[in-house]
Formats: sequence, structure tokens, C-alpha cells
Amino acid sequence: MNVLDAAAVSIHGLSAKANRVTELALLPLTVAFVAIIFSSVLTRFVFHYPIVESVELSRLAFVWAMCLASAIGIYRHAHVAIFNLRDRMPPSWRRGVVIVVHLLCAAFGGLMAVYGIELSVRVWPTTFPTLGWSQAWLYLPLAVAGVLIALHGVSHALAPQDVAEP
Amino acid sequence: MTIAVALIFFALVALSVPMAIGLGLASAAVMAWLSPFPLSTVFQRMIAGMDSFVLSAIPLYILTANLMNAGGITDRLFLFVRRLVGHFPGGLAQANVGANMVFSGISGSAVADAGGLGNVMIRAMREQGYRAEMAAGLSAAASVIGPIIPPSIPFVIYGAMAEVSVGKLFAAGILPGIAIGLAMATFIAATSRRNGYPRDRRATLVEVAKSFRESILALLTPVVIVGGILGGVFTPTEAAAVAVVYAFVISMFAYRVIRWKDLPGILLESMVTSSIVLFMIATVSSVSWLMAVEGAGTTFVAALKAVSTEPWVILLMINAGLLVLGCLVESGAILILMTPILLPLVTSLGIDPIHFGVVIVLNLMIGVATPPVGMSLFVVAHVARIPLEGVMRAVLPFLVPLLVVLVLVTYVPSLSLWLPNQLFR
Repeated sequence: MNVLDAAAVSIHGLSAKANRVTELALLPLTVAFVAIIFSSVLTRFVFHYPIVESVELSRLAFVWAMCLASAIGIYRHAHVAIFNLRDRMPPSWRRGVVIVVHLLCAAFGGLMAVYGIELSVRVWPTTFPTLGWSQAWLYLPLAVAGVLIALHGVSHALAPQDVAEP
Repeated sequence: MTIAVALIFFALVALSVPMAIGLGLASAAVMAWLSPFPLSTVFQRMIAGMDSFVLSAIPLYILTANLMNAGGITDRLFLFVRRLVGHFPGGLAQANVGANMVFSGISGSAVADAGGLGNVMIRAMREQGYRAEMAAGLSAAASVIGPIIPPSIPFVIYGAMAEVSVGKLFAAGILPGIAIGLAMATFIAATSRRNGYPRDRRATLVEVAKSFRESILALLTPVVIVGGILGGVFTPTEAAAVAVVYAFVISMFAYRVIRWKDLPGILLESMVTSSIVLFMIATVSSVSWLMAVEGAGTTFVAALKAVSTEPWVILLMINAGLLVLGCLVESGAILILMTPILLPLVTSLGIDPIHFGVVIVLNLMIGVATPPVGMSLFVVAHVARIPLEGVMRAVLPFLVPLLVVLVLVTYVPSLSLWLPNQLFR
């Protein structure tokens, strides 16, 4: 096994583990997201006690959930793409296009990570009006999803064709 | 800048880059090289586009539909509708349309309906001797009803973009949704003899009552969602969360068709499906911002008004443009890009934004079932395990009733506005 193959195997393993952790994190986040909105309805109508923080909390949970799920979508090749042109190319060209496409995804993930961190740092002193938490929590999922998308993109680009090609 | 974004986007999509990433890369490239704004604006707009309480209804409606689909509740609904209308000319084809109308009160997505209901209905229709391509084409066309009858994910997106009441939009979709169902049913009845469609024997009252009893809890879901919103009990997002809990309780404890170990898969699948739409909304938000900054909307409006200032001509041009765009680009992305451009134009012509919401969503949903890249076509071809080309040909006749209703919805505003005007005085 040469160095490139060894790197591909370890990045592929890391990508699979990161995806598993993301999936495990997404489950309680989704339950919390539903529970926050449902409980706000319940407390308002049954106990006549509206939870004023529920809108901000649910928005935060929603943005985190969607960012993490987007990264899982990249891992699973779930995002909408059109393959008509690629599938008509000769196999050697197609392999090259598949690699370039995954590297472009990885590049966009890298940009999300860099600017997600920059924005989080920039808005750190500002807070949510009712929660009182830093607004950085709103931009951090961009960075987390960006790192994951970059990792999955590189992993797919290095993977054998049957894994790389949806 | 707008043209550069479009060129880069189409080049990337042609290479098979996922649409959401293609939009993000195109706007990042233009922001970095052709605009005076910092690149961080793209990512700030991504979060701004996604950070919305209204949009958070989307994963909840998808989760509700998946909870219903996973446990086979969809089959019960289909059986109930089949017992009711299966003996009409074109029996199972009629049941397909009817089941789509019923399920549209639970799900808010054409693609989810095409996948969930399509799977059940195509199987049943094939068993009764229908051609697989015809069954798949009909399922794709009938899935258009899903996002017109509430709840509706495209109406949620339009409501967030146009800053109009999602509750009013939901009410506005009810009559056009029923009109589509009736138009399709009439079309099927009219062509069933020539095409030799089989039909069921008439179900006995006992059989109808039994299937009704078995599906009553599922049939109440639209009542919970739509009744709650229109009754002012909760917002569309809260209604979606209540629907999730309702679907969970009836699937888990009343029908006992899903188990605890099924839940992680359903939750993950729903979130990933939702993220496909939401990630696109996030990246297209930066494109939309670039277009607004450049004044692309004003240029576009001036170009349309140079052709005519007659509302009916403008609406005709908008319909033609949206139908073409809807066949080529994902509907959620078009909705986000085109709503801020078209809304000022149509409101300046005196067209009600709620009425226009129904027009734009119906146009785009017809696109979802139209070749070459209609998403529902891909989904039904996949679940039916037949070549896409056959489905593309088979869907064409069923587009006729959809286009007839589109003309009606466009030029008879009261079809959309009468109900919300009665309910939201």
C-alpha cells in the first residue's frame, strides 16, 4: 500500500466515524427541536404560561440540525445533483470529473469552516435578546458543518470509484 | 454579477456538483472577484437565510409524513380512498388522485408524496394490469396536489420570502388543490374507456366503514394541522410540531406500526431530506442578496413592463418563464430567487400577494412533474424500478389537467382568495 492509499484509507475511516458521531448528535437535537416547539404550545394553552425563550431556542436547534444534516447529506451523496452529462462521458473523464466535484464540495466546506469561525468570533459579544446567549452559537454550526463537509469531500475524492460515485 | 453567478452555477451543475454547493460556490466566486463586498457576506447570508422560525416548519412536516409512511399508514389511507372511488371509470387511477388529495393534508411536499404514496400506488396499479410507466407518470403528476392543499412546504418558503401570512396561503391553496384533483379525475374518467383502464367492483358499505375505521386517526391529521392554524390555535410551525407528536402517538401507540428501534432511522432520514431543501435555501440566499444589491430585479421588471403593462400579459409571461425554470432548476431555489424579483412587479399591477403565491407555487410544482429534471419523475422511476424515459413520456397527458387548472388559478383570483377572505376577516 503506497502513501496515498494509506492516507485515503485513514481519511475514509475518519469520515465514516465523524459521520456516525454527527448522526448520534443529530438525534437528540431533533427530539429537542420538536419538544421545544411542542412544549411552547402546551404551556401556552394548558398552563397559560408562554415560554418566551422557545422561539430563539427552536431557531438555534433548527439551524444546528440543518447544518449537521447537510453534512450527513454530503456523506450520503443525498444532495440534488444532475448526472446526465457526467454519465455520458468516457469512464476515464468521468473519474476525473467525480474527483473534481468532490474537491469542489470540500473547498466550499473549507470556506464554510473558515468564515463560520470568523463570523462566530466577530459576533461573540452580541447576545440573543431573550436567551442572553452569545450570537456566536448561531454561526458555529456553519463552521462545524464546514469541517465535516470538507472531510467528507476529500474522503469521497480519494475513495474508489464505486464509493465516490453516487 | 447576476449573469456571472448564473453562468458559474450552470457550469458547476453540468459537472454534477450538488445544486446547493454550486449556488454557494458561484456566489462566493462572484463575491470574491467581482463585488466590493467581503466574502464573509456569503456565509453571513447563508445563516440569515436559514435562521427563520417559519422555515423550521419544513423538517417537521417532512417528519410527520415519514412517520406516517414508515408504519404503513399510507396503505390504510390508500385502501380507504380505493374503497370509495375504485369502482369509478379508471378505478385505481382515480384512487391514486384521491389518495394524493387526502395525503396532501398530511405531507407538504410533492417529492415526499411521489416517493411515499407512489410506492404503494404504483405497486397496486401494476398488480391490476396498468402499465408501470402510466402508473408512475400519474403518480408524479398527482403529487403536484401535495404542496397545494395545506400543509405546504413551498407555501412556507414563499410566506417567509414575501412576508405574508402562511395561514392565509394555506387557506388559499385548498380550493385550487381540490380543483386539480377534480380536473385529473375528470381527465382519467374521460380517457379510461379508450385506454382500457380496469376498475374495482363497488365496495360494500361494510367494507367502506371498515377501511374508514382503520384510517380515521390518520385522516384526522389534516384536521389537526389545518384546523389548528385556521382556528388561530397555533402558527404553521407550531402546527407542524403538534402534527409530529400526533403522528408519533398514533403510529406508536394507536396503530402500533412503528417500534422504538425504527425511530432513529426515521428521524435521521427526515432531517437529511429537509437539509437538502434548507441547504439550498441557505446558499441561494446569498445569490438573492447579490441580485438585490445589483438591482437585477428592477432591470428584470423594466424588461417585462417594456413588453406590456397589462396584468394578464405579465402573468402569462411569468407563467411561461416559471414553467420553463421549474423544469430545469429545483423549485425551492427558484422560489427564493424569483419571489423578491416578481412580487414588487405583481403587487404594482394590483395582484394580491396571496393569489400570486398560489400561482407561483402551482407553476413550480408542475415543473416538479415535468421532464427533463422534474424531481418527482426521478423518484417515481426509482420506486417503480423502470427507465426514466418511459415515465417522462407517460406523464405528458396528465400535465393537461394541471395546465388547465393553472390557467384558472391565474386568471380567476377568487378561486384562491375567496376562502382566506372568509376565514381571515
